[in-house]
Amino acid sequence: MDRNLLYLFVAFFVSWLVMGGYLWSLSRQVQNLRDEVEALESADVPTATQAGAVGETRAQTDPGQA
Amino acid sequence: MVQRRGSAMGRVSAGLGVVTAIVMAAALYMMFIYAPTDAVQGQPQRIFYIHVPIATIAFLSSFVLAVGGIGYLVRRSQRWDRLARASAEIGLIFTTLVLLTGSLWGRPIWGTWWTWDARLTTTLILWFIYLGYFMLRAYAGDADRAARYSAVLGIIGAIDVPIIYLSVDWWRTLHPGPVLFTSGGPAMPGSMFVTFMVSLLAFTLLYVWLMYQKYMIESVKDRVAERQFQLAERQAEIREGMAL
Repeated sequence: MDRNLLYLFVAFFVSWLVMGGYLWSLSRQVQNLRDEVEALESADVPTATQAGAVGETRAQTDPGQA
Repeated sequence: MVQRRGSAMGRVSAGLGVVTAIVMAAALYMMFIYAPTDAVQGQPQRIFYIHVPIATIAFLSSFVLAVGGIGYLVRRSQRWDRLARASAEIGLIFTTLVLLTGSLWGRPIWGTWWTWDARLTTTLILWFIYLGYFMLRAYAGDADRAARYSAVLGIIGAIDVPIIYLSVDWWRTLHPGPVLFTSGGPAMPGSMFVTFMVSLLAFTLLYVWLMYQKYMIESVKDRVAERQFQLAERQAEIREGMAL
């Protein structure tokens, strides 16, 4: 392969690799948050307001959003 | 009500994601097929179509980070801090990519991976500022102090951006001067300029989409932390009550 073409290929490959890695890290963060919300729900949530707030949090971690 | 609002925002996010993917695919087509090969630099010149839009987004991130920081210092609202945190993370990713793609472009054209040129050095300083931002957040202790200190650092980062931009005018550098928005119009053929603009639009959409995702994640993180704190307090109260 032409060396100049190699630099072009590597530049694009590295860029998409880093962006892909970042998107993967975002999806991991969403998964971790979902686990934490589930843990909170399974814990003894004492008041109705808190339960409502956790429900709200769950709505925000909807897979369609992140 | 909350669920309905959540699903509506989810649809907007999904729609924006689809539009971003379509525009990005069009930009890639234009970069490799539509735009002609540069007569002087050859194939490596095509790195320009990602390097400059990525740099623009890195600078935009720094500006948004500073706006979030100023907003937090004035209002002390978590919303401003979340905005700053979201933009800082994306800014760090994009500044890293500017340095990497610049290095990969510089090697075949300048014959070196790196030189202590004014623009490269000031961009590296911005990268260190982004890195310092996250170190401050991790080690500053209580949340308010971390937010205040990092807000100040974010503002300093934004001051570096015009210095990066004007460095090619202020100092003798290896890095080329402005070629896009000059008094005589773009110093390149129309097809190259159009390709650049489509790429810039694609990366701007990507930034907006990433910002939305990251802001929502930070928002939920704050709520979860708050609930965990409330739950721990409540459990401590119950334990105290049982002990009595």
